[in-house]
Amino acid sequence: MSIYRISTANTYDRALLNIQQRQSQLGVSQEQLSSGKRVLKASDDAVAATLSERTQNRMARTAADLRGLEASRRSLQQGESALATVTDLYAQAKELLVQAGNGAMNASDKLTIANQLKGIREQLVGLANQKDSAGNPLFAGLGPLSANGQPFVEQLADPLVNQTTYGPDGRSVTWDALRGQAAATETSLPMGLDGYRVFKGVVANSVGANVASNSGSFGAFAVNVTTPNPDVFDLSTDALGQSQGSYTIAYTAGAPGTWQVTQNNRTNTPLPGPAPAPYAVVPTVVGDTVELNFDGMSVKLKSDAAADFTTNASFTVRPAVDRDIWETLDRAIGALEQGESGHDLTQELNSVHAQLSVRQDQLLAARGKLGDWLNRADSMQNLFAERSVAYEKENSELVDVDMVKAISDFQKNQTAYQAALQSYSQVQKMSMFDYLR
Amino acid sequence: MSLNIAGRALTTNLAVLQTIGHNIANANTVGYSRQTTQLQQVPGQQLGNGYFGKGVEIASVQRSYDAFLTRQANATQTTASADAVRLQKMQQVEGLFPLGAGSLGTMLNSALNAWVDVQSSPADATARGVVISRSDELAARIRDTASRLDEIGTTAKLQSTQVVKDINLLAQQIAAMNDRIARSQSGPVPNDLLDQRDKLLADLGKKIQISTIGADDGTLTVFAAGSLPLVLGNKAASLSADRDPLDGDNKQVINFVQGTSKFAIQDEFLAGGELKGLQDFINKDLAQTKTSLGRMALALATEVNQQHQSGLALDGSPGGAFFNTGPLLGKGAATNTGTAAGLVMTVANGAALAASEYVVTYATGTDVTIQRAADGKYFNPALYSPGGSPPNDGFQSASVNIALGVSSVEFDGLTLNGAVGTAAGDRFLLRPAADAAAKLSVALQSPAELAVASRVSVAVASTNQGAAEIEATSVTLRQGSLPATPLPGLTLTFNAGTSQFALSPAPTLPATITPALAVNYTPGSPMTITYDDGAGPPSNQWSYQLTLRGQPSTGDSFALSQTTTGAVRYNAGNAQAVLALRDKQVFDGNTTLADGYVPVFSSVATKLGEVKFSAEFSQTQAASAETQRANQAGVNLDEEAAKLIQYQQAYQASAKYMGTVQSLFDTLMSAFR
Repeated sequence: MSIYRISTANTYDRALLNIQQRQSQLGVSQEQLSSGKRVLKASDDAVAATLSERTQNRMARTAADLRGLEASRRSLQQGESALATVTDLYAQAKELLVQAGNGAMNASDKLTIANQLKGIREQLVGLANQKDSAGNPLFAGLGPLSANGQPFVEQLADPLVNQTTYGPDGRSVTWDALRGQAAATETSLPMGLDGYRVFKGVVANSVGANVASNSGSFGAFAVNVTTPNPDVFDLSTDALGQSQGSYTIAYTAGAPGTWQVTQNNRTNTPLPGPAPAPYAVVPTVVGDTVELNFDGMSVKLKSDAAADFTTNASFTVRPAVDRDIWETLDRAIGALEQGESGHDLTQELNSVHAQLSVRQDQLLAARGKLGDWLNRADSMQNLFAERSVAYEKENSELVDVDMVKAISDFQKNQTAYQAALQSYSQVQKMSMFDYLR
Repeated sequence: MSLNIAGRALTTNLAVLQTIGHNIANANTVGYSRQTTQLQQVPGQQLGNGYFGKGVEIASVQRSYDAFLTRQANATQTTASADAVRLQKMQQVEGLFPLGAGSLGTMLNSALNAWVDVQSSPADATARGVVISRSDELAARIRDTASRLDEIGTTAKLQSTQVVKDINLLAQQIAAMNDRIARSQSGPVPNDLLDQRDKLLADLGKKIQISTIGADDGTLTVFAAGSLPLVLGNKAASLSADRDPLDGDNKQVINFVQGTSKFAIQDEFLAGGELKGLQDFINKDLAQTKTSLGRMALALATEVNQQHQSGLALDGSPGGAFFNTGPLLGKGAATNTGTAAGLVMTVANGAALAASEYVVTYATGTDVTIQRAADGKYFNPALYSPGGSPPNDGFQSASVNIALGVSSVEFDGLTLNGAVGTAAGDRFLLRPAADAAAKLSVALQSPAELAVASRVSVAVASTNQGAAEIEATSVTLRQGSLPATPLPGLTLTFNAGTSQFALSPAPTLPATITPALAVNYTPGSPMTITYDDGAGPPSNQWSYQLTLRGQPSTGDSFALSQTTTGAVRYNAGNAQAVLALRDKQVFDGNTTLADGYVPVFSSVATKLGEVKFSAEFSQTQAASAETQRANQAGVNLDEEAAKLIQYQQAYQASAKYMGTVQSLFDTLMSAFR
């Protein structure tokens, strides 16, 4: 048997198989060229296909993060524009306060200014409750508590707890949301701000006290606190909800008579010993006003009829905590509406002015934070875009076809296929039988 | 004498020419071995001064056949057939797992990422609707893929039934051929019958791997699957493809049938041929693909359901199940003697699920062994310690009897409940994953049912001085169920000295929290406090997660309490927790939920790559072995042409010789005229 011997039928079979292979290779090249993909099926390149799946997951994630970021950015922008308006309103309010302090103003001018301040107060409630385009409150901290989504609720005041220096005005703005600031993460930004920090919170070292009548009927009363006794009044922190000290002052005898002052609820720690025994204060009476000076405070009681100060008259003096911007404004409005004038009005307006300045600082801090987040939104967006491009590139390197290589492969395969066909037809034509004629 | 030589030469050369004609005629006949006429000289006769030859005669007609080359060609062909059919089937499976935009992974991610929009606007019905519809599409796609895999399996089973029929027919034909060959054994070698039998053997080898042993009477005994005599002399046994007794709907077993007795052939003993390729595909590749796809579905459903049930729907009611997977039931084998219909399973831990089926065998009426099909290992509860270091899944090589009775056992994230009415020898197949994939659907009807809000909200105390901000708050169900009533509150108070948050109030016994007193604070990573209500067993467990950023001051406190009904429409805590699941390592402890498709896909892709490679390799080998065989045994027409001329000339020469002898004879005769 010769090693050169070949079987004719098998030669045909093999030649056919080879031609089919070439044709299928050409088909693959053609498919790659027309689709632009090197990996069309998992079996084309299992590793690249798997990695490409992962990369595409990352791309989808980046796209989703970007969607979330855009939503946050829209909300934050709306918050920023709301706060810009609030800044303007604060400036207007300050201007009005300066005007009101002008000695030339008569009572009706002051009422006008009071009305203007009321207008600002209303607008502020609206702005603080503003919602973004999706209906979520912008300044609700960790979320509102009521279905209407309002973190700031205008409601009737509890006369004993929520009152201004000028007596119960029948309204206050309460916080109806969860306090706290949502955090920015590497891939997301919060949807809103903690409105409490912007509009509410007891202003540090604010000085003042409220007087409530325990009996009798009085038109108005005022307290002027110069240096409060820290054992009774602690105004240094946001003491909302904490038990605070108070004074009870009660008329004892005579006209103008003496008043007895009792310290209640000395809750501050450390306690400086037992509470002192009630002590008597002799008032200064000027017309229908009774002024009591004790413990760094001067309390003015005012009545139309001196007879009102009877034996059973008693009052409670509590620290005036300016819980929010609305109460600050209410103090000014109250002072103007009650027809205060001269030194008292100036002092009151100055105090409101100072507090408004502190509130303005709060506002600026909040706007600074918003600005920072919006900047971060920009840089995060750039980061996402770059990431997206990088993933796109990675994916393309994994599964896309290298055109130069594909074209050259295609031509190589085409040439090979042609050669196979041509040689087949030529070689198979040859047979010894052709020569047996 | 000379005329004798001439006559013999003529007939002999004509016979050779006839053989050449036969070769030419059969040049393209598959399985034909070329034949050559062996000539021999007729021994001479001594006539005084020397031996005078008496011409030529035919010794035999031989076929050019090499047993070793043929065996090699058949052996390589049998492997190539197995690989080719497996590749063909795997390519059908590949079509179900496309790449890129249409892939299951894309759908999985778009379903999970849709929660981002809900997080941005929690009450928005459209965003909620998109989550449901995307998840619905995903579930439909998984169901569809599972049912298409079933269809491919059914087709493969039909195909193997056909292959088995072909095998039986070929076996009968070989037996018949054996008979004919044995009967012609007394005469010369029946070349063409042998060729035909070899052709039948080659055909049979493509269907199933065989080995042969020749007998003295010329018959061949054909063994299949190791040592089962498929053909013995002129008798043929048969095969049958039957439903697997344990998993008849999905798997099949090949039985060897001889007379009335049946013998199940292990798939390992089928070494080659189409039948082997099909069996491997049906019982291994397809089953594994289904399990791996199903594990993704089951883990996804478990994880998302647990988180969804931990949230609150738009009306403030507790969230329900998000996905339905139907009940998970281990089916009993057809051969079971007990009355238990099935074993009920539940998923205990979606992240611990393995991509495998399990076989539960009752050693006694109550004691079982649990074998993991993927690696053949047995579960040993004594070794099981998922929290150990290193964690041990409790599976070992030796089988262990577990007293199951009517209690339950947990392994690989599954809880298996015993049943009454089981008998020794009963077997049950657990395929929770594949069952889940076939039934996965979204359980929610309306967008309002989507539980977007977290059960608990955090509130910062008014007195807080620090700058800590809140990143996330959520509740996650761990075990059992959450109470419909408001969850107990928890307050975390910071201690800068230890960098820990103290926990208060302590729950009322038997309820406990872990950690009991304080939790360590790392900015940006969740503080997890697990609450166990102490009921049961099993008790209900859930965890509170709070993630803070920034530095709190000593005494700063954060109070977790039930989210109020009014606040639900503005709370997206649970959506955030679902989004966090994307990065939870759920599969084999190293693949995240969002990448859940990757293991499924890569197992298909790598398997396919491997099958493709071996199919190409075995085909090349088969082709080369066949070429070697054919080059030896096949007809070369040029050779035949050359021989044709050669013997034609010899014939012509013989005729000329005869003419010469005749003319000599004539010359002699004319001399006497």
